[in-house]
Amino acid sequence: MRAWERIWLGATIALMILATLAVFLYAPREAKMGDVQRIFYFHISTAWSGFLAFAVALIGAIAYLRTRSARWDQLSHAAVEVGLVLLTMAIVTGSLWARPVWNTWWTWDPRLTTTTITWVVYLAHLLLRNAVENPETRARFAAVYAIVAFVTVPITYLSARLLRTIHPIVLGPSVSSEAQGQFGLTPRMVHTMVLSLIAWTLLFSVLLWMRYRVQRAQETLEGIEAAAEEA
Amino acid sequence: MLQLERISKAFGPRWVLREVSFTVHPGEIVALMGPNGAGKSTLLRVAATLLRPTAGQVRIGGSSWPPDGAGVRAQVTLLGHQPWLYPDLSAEENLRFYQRLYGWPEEPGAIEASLERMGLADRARDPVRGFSRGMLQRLALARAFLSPAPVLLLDEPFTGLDVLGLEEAREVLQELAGRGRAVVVALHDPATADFAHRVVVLVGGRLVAEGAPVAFQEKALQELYQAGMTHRHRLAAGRPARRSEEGGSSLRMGLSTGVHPVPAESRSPPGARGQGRGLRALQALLWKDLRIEGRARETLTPLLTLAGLSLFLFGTAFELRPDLARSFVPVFFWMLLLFASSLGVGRMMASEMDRGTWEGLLMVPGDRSLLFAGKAMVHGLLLGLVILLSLAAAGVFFNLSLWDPGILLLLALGAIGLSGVTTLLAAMAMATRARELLLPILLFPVAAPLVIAGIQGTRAILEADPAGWSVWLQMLIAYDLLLFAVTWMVFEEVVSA
Amino acid sequence: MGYLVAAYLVFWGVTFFYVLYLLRRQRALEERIARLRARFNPEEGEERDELR
Repeated sequence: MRAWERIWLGATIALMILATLAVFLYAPREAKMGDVQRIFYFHISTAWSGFLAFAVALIGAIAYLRTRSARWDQLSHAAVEVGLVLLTMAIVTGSLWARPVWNTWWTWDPRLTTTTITWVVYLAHLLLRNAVENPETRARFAAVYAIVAFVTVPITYLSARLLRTIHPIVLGPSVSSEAQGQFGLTPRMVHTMVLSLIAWTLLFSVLLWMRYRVQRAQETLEGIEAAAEEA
Repeated sequence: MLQLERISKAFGPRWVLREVSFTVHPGEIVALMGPNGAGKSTLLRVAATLLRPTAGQVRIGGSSWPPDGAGVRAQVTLLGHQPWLYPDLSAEENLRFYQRLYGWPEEPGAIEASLERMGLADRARDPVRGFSRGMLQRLALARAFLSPAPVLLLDEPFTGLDVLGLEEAREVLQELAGRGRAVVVALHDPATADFAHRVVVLVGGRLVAEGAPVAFQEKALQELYQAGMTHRHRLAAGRPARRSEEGGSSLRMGLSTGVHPVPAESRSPPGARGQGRGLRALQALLWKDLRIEGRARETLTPLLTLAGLSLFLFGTAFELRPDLARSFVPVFFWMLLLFASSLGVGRMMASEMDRGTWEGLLMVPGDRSLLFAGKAMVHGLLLGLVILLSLAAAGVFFNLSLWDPGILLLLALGAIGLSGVTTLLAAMAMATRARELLLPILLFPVAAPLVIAGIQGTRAILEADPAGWSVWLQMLIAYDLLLFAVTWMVFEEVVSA
Repeated sequence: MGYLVAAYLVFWGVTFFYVLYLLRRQRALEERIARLRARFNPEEGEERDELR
């Protein structure tokens, strides 16, 4: 492992631990919801990194179509998978928060619905990759679908703002008077939130890097196997 | 005229062509020979812009591919493995369709003449469905004969022809060369190559020899193929750039080719250019699809039957009270639209691919987004018809009038948005292993916001809530525009390998 | 409180197992690559760099 990799990895682990400690020890107990509100710090952070991952997938897709270099496709693919893992965490923990606060595991609220749509779109993306044998066609189709799929991301972002929703809008001005579980942020909460966001963004970059390396190794192996077959 | 410069093509990690270079002059016929799997078809498809070379360039008359596929395509006619013919159109209609699609000059009598030349004059008005393999091949050759393109690429054009047809076909090719065309013919049988001016031999994706046809009788070819195979066995995973010294060691056989290049006939570039040509091609596409649908009814009738059956089942299963009907019927209609689009568009795209005609469409000179526009328009029309007839039936089954301009507007917007995005996704899904199964998986999540907005908007009207309707209408419009913009931009990427 | 613990178990647990899965896959792939390389072109060191 090279020096910068060591620093990167070390910083990520340290920040993740620090963020977890801050969530439990530093952040104040929210008055109405109690301790369960503490889910929100990592919930937002995973959702944010998930959407960041899909943005990376989009960039990789566009760059692939421009350059036709397999590396961009590998990056895009890695980002989609990591993004799915992160978004899954966000959805599951959101549900764990909703149970005590909204008194239900799930509701067909616009924000939840559109997030689920995004999740399913990227799942379909993986299925599409799986269904194409020719690596070049696979990369091309995956890139196209990643671009089409990203259309659902801004819709998810806007839905909570434009449509009537009960999902709280913690960051930015709230326009919905019907939000249930809405709360104001104290300075300590803001610190914890910022720390979590940084920690998860770093963790995302590490996961992306690891997944990207797996993809490269995978395709190198396929290359060697094909060459061996030919020889 | 046609210059191939160090063309390499890899399918993933497998190299199919390695640094193949040669030039074909106007008036010259080059026979491309090689064992099965040598890369002959791949090379022709690269030259015809159906495949993108991994490295190297194809040059024709000032255009280079990549990147200028459209420019090269405008000067090339390809006769591929499949004849690219529509069984429900007559021989004449098939030729007319391609003439318009490709923007070839529509000289009166030209189609009749080319049919005559290939001995099909008396079958001109018969649907191609009843043609034998040999006749299909003759008709495909008639299309090549009709083409004004300066470069002709033919992949095993003699397949299925009888002795007479073979002789005629060779004469036609010689005649075309005599008129200044550059002709490349991929062949496997050395006995049929004697009419060529030059033979180029591909083995294992490399050009291993070239020379006069006399030098490549069966025996010589056998030895070449053998040598090429053992040569290939010695190679491991090397990339062509690092093996150029080996690639350059091709044999030169025989005497000089004895070709006397003929100057190309002075003619305006094939067909009209620009806006007018695009419009004519679009017209041709619509005309072709609607005519085939009118004759074969392979999409509309099944879809309508399916819609009727679902209406009936849904109606009997629920026996909805009016208030419930207002809530449920919109769901039914938008789901119907979604399924109809997935099944109908998928079917139409699949039949283009099954018939092998999709590649013929991809050879359209210029912007391939035209195909997207044409297909999306036909699909939009089809969906519109299905929905209108189902709306009429709904009045009967649900005792609920849905003939409201607001609802019709929503459904029209839905059909437009869906036809566009489904066309794009179908072009991808039908080229994968999972095909029909994959299309709804790709489509439904992307179309979900559209369907949700449609359902809510329709409900708002049934519940007399115009303000709610206009919010959903705006969302539907915004999403339609967004989807159309994105799909329009990426369609070319889906269809150009 | 139970929901809170469950949620943070999800965060840490999923991350942990995902990292573990990635590391294992990477190792398995690298081993297979090394084995194949040793079998097919033991002398071509140059090729190795290129395929990396």
